[in-house]
Amino acid sequence: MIELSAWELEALEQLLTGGIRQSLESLAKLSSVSWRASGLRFEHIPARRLLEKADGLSARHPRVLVSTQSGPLYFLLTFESKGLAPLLKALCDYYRVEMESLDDSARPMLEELSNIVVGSFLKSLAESSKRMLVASVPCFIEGSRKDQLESALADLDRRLDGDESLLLAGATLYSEPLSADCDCALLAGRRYLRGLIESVTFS
Amino acid sequence: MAKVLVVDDSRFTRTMLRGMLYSFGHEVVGEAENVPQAIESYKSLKPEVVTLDLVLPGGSGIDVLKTIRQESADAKVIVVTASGQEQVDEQVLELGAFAVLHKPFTADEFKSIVQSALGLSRG
Repeated sequence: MIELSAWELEALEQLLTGGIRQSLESLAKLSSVSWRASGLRFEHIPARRLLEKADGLSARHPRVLVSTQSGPLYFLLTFESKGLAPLLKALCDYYRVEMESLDDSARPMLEELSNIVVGSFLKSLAESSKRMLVASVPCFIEGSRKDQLESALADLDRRLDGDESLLLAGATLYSEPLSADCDCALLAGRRYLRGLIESVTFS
Repeated sequence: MAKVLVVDDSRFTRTMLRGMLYSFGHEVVGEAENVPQAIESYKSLKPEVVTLDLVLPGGSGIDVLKTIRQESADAKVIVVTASGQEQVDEQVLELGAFAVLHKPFTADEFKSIVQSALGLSRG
């Protein structure tokens, strides 16, 4: 298992904080209200245990998984059902889209929101690490379809080297005016993350 | 009124761009959600402007951009993306994209870029 040094952990925290800040700015621009983040957390976890954890995830909240084409780096966004309606309305209002034209389906709206949140995060990560980081098509995970998530995590597992472990980092993005929450989890191979950290320059 | 082809796998984005383009007075002559559809639609519809997502099922918007530019050196392709990465922008502009529009963008920002593209295409 690769251990990150104190400097690397500090650099990682700065990377993640920068990505979250960029995502918050995009959400604020979209919704015209303020957004904040809470509870930045890290957890080192063997990939196989993560697959087991997928079984325990709540099926009540809609989720969107976004992988990247650049390496073992995935994002799992979980939207709190309670504040979903005002959040989706804000997105549609911003882009002048009638929700009825989407058959009131949350799926395309949540995929778009996730695309923007992850795209913003990757922009910050790419600027800091001087790398091009390309996201894949967002994958909406319906409540009871745990197999989709398991399949994606198994794919992530295949992209890891040997006994490489995962770093699970996360934070909750929330807006008090909208009463909306989005739990944003980043899953990354530790060797891949270490490579990103080594190329980091902070302004 | 200009003929526009919208290429995006996201149903939300296609709906949003279609609505904005209609409100600007343009006609969306086709929509495509993957690479083969995009290339086929461009060849058959010959739109004046293409809005192009970079992340598409079955390939990349870069492939679409290259093919369109090979078909027509005057093609006006506006890349619409959630990626605000400079390296990505530089790559697509070098390949001949007219402009890159980063999400989230306003209707006015989009309108301004479409008008610029049409102004250039109309000489």
